[in-house]
Amino acid sequence: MIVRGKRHWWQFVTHPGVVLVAPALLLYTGFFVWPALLAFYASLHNWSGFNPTMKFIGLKNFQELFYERLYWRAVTNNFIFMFGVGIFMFFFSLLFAAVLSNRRFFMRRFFKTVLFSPYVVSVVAIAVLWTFIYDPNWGLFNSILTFLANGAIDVANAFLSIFSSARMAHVHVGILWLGSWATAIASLSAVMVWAGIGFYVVLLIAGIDRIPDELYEAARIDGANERQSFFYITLPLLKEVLVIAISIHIIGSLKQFGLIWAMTRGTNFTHTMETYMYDVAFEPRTMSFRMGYGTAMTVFLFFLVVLITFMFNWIMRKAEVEY
Amino acid sequence: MRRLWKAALVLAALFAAAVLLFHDKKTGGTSASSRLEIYFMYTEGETQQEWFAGAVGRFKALHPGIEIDVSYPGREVLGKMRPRLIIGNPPDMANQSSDELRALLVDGLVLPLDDYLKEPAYGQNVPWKDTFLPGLLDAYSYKGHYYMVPQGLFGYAFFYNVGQFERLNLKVPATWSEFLDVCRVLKENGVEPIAADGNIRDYNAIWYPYLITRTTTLDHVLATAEGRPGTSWTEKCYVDAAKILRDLRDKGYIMRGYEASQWPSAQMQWIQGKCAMLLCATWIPKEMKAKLPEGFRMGVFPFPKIEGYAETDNRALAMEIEAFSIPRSAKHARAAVEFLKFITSPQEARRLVAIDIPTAVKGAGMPPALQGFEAFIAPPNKICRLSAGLGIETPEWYRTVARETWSQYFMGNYEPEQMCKMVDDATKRFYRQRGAGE
Repeated sequence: MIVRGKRHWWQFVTHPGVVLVAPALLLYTGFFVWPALLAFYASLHNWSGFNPTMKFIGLKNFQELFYERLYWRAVTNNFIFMFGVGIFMFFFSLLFAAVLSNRRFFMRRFFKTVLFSPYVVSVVAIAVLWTFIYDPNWGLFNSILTFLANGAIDVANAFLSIFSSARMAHVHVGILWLGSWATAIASLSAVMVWAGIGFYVVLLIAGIDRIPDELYEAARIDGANERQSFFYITLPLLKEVLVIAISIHIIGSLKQFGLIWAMTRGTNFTHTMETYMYDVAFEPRTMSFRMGYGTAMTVFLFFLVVLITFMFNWIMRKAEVEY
Repeated sequence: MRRLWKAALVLAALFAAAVLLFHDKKTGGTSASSRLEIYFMYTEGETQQEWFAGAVGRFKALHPGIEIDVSYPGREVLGKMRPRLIIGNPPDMANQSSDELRALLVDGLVLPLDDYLKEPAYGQNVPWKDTFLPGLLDAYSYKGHYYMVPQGLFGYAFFYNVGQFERLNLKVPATWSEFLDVCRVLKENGVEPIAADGNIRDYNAIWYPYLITRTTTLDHVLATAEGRPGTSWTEKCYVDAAKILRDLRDKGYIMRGYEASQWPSAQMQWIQGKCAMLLCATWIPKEMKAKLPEGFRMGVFPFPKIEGYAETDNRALAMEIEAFSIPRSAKHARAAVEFLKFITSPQEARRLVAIDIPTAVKGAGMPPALQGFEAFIAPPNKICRLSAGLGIETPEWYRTVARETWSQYFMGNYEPEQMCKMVDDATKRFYRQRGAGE
C-alpha cells in the first residue's frame, strides 16, 4: 500500500483535483504520450506501415538519415524559414503593432482586420491563390511587370520616334518565381510572411495594450519622444509576449508542411523536414512507403523542436531585464 | 465527494455509450460481416465512380446473394487500407495504380491470382487471363505470379492537337529527327511545340528515363542503377540522352516558363492551342473532356525512337495500370474474384471505353482520342514501368539519387556530362553507404 504522509493512496486518487484532471490526463496519455512512445519504437524498425510485422534494425534509420543529403537540404530550408521569415515577420509585426496600437490611428480596426484576414484563410486556398499570382505566363506579378516594362518601352519609343523610325519591341517579363530553389524559397517566404503576420500583429497589440499608460505619461514628462518610448518601454515590456510569439514561430517553421506541399510539393529542393517525411512514408507517387524511416525523421524533428525551443527560452531568460 | 464520484460515473457511462454507439461494426477487428467490402480509388462524382456504382448494381441484380459495400476514398486507398491491413482485417478488394499496389506485393499482403486466372472468364469459354491485352498480365507480375487484375491503362505518350498538325501539314513523328522537325515547324509558326508544368517532379523525371530507353536497354539501365560492376552513368548512352534532352530545351521547344508553371497550366495551354503536344498519360482525354474547346481533336503517338543506337528498348512504352488486388487475408476472396471477373468482362469494359477510359480488356476497343493505342503496347512493342522501372525496382536509389536530379535537369540545371557524373557519384556513394550501413 502506497502511503503519502498520513494519507492513503485512495485518498490521493479521490482528491477532487486528481479526479478532475484524470480524464484529460488519460486522453493526453492515450493520444499523445503513447503514440509518441510507439513512434520512437517504430523508428528503430524497418517497417512499411502496412505489415503488422516490423524488423528491428536498431539505430540504422537514424544513421541513414545523417547520410541523406536531400534530407539535410530540407533541414536547411526549415532553418531559412525560421530565421529568414522570422526576421521579416517580426520586423513588420512589430512595426504594424506599434502603429496600430496607437488609439488615435485612423481606421485602426479596419487595418487590423485586413492584416489578420489571411490568417483565417485555409492554407490550401492561400497556396492556390499565390500559385496563380506567381505563374510565369499569366500570373499577376509577371503581368504587372510586363505592363510596366512595356509602358516604359512605349515611352522610350515615343522619344525615339523624334529621331528615327526604329522601335523597341514589347517584352514579356517571365520571372520563374517558383522555378528554382532560390526564387522558390524567397517566394514561399513572402507568402509565409503575408499569411502569418496578422496573427503576430494581434498578439503583439494585445501585449502592448497591457502596458500601463502611466509609464508612457511618465516618460513623456521626462522628455522621451515616441521612438524612445518604443525602445525603452514598449519593447522591453513586450518581451514576454515576444518570447511566446517567437517560440510559436520557431515551432511552426520547423513543422512547415501545408503551404510547401500545396505550392511546390518539394520540387526544386523546396522540401521541409515534414514534407520530406511525408514523401518518404506516405506519398504514393514516391512508392517508398518507409514508415519506420519516416518515423525516425519525426523523432529527430521532435528532439530538434524541443532543443531549439529550450535554447531560445534559455537565451531569453539569460537576457532578462528587471524593471 | 459523492457528487464528484457520481459525475465521474455518469461521464464514464456516457463515454462507454458513445463508444458502443459510434463503433463501426464493419471495421471491427473480429466482425463476421458477410458483405463483400471494396475500396475504390475514385471519389463520388467522378465518371469512373459512376461506372463502378452502376457495375455494382448490375452485379447485385445478377447475384442477389452477394452484398457489396463500396468505399470511395479517392487516391488515398492505400492510406485508408493501412490500419485495416495492420490489424489483419482488410477489405476484400481494392484498386489503385499498379506501381503503388506493388508496396503490398513486396510485403506479401496480396493474394496470388494465378489459379483464378486459369478459370473461365465471365460469360466466356476462355481462360480469364486470355481476356486481357497480350503481355499485360506478365508486365505487372511479381516474382512469376499474378497479383493484379488490370482494368484502366495509364500509358505515357505524346498527345497532340490534330487540327494544328493538319493546318501545318505535319505528319505524326516516329523518329526523334522527325519529332525535332515537327517541333521546328511548330515553333516557326508561332506555336509552342511542347507543353509542360515544372512543379510536378515525377512528370519532369519522366523525360530522361524515357530517352535512355531509346539509347540503351532497360536491363542495362537497371544494372547501372543497381551499381553493378562495369556500368556507369557516364557511359555514352546516358550522356547522349542527356544531350538530346538539353537540345530540346535549348532550341526553345518546351513552352516558355515551364520551369515554374503549375499544373494544370500546361494542359490548359495545350487545349487552348498555345502549345501543340503534351507528354502525358492516357487519362488526359477523360480529364480534359469537359474543358475541350469546340472542334478540338486529340491524337496520340508513342515516344519517338532515336536513330543510331544498336541495342535499345526503343519500342517500350512507359505505363501504369489501374489494377485490382485481393488482400491475402480477405474474408471473401471467392466472391471478390467473381465480381472482378464481372467488371473485367467485355460488356463492362465497353462501358468504360464509352466514358473515355482505355481498358486492359481485349476487344473492348479504345476511346476515340486513343485510337491505335492498343498497337503501341502490342508485341513487338513492349510495356515498361514508369521511369524505366527504376522507381519500383530500385525505389530508394531512385528516390535519393535520380528523381530530383533528373527533374532538375529537365528544368535546365546542370550540363549533360555534369548531370551524369552527379548521378554516377551519387550511385557509388549510395551503395557505399548501404554497404557500410549493413
